[in-house]
Amino acid sequence: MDSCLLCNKSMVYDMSLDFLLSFKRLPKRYVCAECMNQFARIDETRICTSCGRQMDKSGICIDCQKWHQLGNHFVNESIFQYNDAMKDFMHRYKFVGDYQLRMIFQKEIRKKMRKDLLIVPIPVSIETKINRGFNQVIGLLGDIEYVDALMVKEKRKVRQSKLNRQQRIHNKQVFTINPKHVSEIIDQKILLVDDIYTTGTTIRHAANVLRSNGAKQVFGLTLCR
Amino acid sequence: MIKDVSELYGRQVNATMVDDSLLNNSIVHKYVPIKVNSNNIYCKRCGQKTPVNRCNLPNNNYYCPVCINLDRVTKSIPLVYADEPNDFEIKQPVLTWQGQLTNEQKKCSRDIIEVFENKKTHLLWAVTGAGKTEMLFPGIEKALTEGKRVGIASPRVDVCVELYPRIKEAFTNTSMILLHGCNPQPYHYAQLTICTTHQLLRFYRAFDVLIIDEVDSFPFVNNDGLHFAVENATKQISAKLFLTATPTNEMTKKIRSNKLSASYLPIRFHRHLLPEIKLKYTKKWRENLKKQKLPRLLLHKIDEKIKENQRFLLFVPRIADLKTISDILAKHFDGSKWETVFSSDDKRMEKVSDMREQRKLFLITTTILERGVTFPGIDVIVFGAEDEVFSTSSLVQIAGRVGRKLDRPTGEVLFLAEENTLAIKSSINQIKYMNKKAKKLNG
Ligand SMILES: [Zn+2]
Ligand SMILES: [Zn+2]
Ligand SMILES: [Zn+2]
Repeated sequence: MDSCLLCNKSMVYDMSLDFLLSFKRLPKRYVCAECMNQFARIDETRICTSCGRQMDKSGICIDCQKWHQLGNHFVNESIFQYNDAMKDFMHRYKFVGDYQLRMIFQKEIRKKMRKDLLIVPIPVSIETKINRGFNQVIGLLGDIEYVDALMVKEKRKVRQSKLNRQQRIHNKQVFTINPKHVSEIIDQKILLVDDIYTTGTTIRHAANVLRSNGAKQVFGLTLCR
Repeated sequence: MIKDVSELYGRQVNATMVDDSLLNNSIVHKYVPIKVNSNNIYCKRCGQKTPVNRCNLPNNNYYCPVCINLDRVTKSIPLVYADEPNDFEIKQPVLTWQGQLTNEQKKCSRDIIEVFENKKTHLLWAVTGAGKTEMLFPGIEKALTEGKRVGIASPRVDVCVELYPRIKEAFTNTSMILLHGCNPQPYHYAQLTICTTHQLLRFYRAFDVLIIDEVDSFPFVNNDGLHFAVENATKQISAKLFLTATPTNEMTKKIRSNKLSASYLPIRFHRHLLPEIKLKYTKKWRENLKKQKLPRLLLHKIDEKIKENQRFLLFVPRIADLKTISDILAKHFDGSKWETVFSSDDKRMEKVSDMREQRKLFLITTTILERGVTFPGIDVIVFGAEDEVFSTSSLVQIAGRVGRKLDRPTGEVLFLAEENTLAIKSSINQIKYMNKKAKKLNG
């Protein structure tokens, strides 16, 4: 019998007679019902139509209104709310490094895929890659095909105060295009995937790099918001 | 970042946590913690196997998910350690405890000294309330005086937390550390370590003497895992002492076939017998509970105890049962008399102290209060004693909450059950068995 990846309790499958008679294969489960219930799915009928966060009724949230004033229009979709259960999941998956936990949400991510979109994951730094041993976003993608179009800029050891304003803003840009895949994104509609949308700065930085390198349209998908 | 080599004495740590200057030191050993087989991996830190599809990382790397909450070990990062040098400063007096042992305790304590001296593996079977911690003191004293490294481990955090101040007081002059998962205290090299059995996995051939308290307290714990942890943390020639009030079947078998030596302490320090278990049947209680009904027997008992102002604990099998039962009771009795408490209850501490300070007459609880917590002069009722959450060990422990103090050495232990189970039967028998031995001692 399988045990729950989160609480370790063994899982009992509730098999109805109908199901047994249908001769279908049991869907593989990684998490018990009790643990799964702790996650809060975002109700798509009432969200911020820009960042995808849960709202009382649909509209544009205050944070996104600020982005819009700066002329930055970006559309992101998220699947779960960033509640305590998700916080705990992220901690165990990313920071403790329990890579098998990637399997829990792969199916949810897969459901959001569309044929006309090119998938680009948010990259992690080389340092993170060595310490963590994996890119958490690529882990969530499972066997979905993607293009590794972005890279994290190597940190320049120049103090911020030594730079002028223009350079400083430029320096905030953490991503750069991966020269190996630059041709593949031209004129494409792209779905940028990340694990979490917090302030929205990361995913917007990434989108800017893709757009300025010829992408036609860029949308966002994050596991949680 | 570890810079002091003493932190590596008998302790294994990811190489990334250790300063470069130490990594190049010849007394620091390195090894790759993960062995990759054809369809599984073997973790040398925890001794467990994991199927490959559960533990692979990109780039042909692997990690162990079993012991990951100690921090992750991977194939690509070696574990490092230094041999245990027993580099301790011994300050006299080693034992700062002033108490006296009873004659029975003295006898067991002599056995313990002998076990430590001759580096044997031994089981001490002492009833609940026997005062087993004190019996350890002379043995620990001798070991510490001889410069041995001593560990005391228990599967349960609360047992460790309760033990630490008592040991600290008894050995004030000895360097000591408490280690468990929820404790952020930084590690330092110490002659006496108190830790959870899980934390033992961080040690490698460290201890000359290792005491494992309440071995039985996690009935579902993987025994191979525990044995691996004990073997791994102790020196190749070392003394291992297991303490229990309820030996597992595996242990009693080993005792009977002379594979494990044992001492018995069947009598409580106050020389009174253990209260024996009364079993009564409450047929179809689960079905009736769904109809918001409790057995008349239980209601009658509670009524009696309220009238006599007799404090007690009511154990129930499931967290979900707490509210249901409490709500029904509130229709019959004054609801301010009790509280419900479960393990992850935010107000657990408060509620326990409400009970301790007699603001409440009784608590309705799950198995969490089965050991460690002592309320003087209480009775216990186990409702639904047939449920699988109540193992022999937890039932004996629950019964052992009663009659601990000299001013009320007796009390009532009542089990209400749908049917008699193996666990109930053997808990009744274990208590009878120890009482029989105790009667002989009392003459
Ligand atoms: Zn679970
Ligand atoms: Zn928004
Ligand atoms: Zn392991």
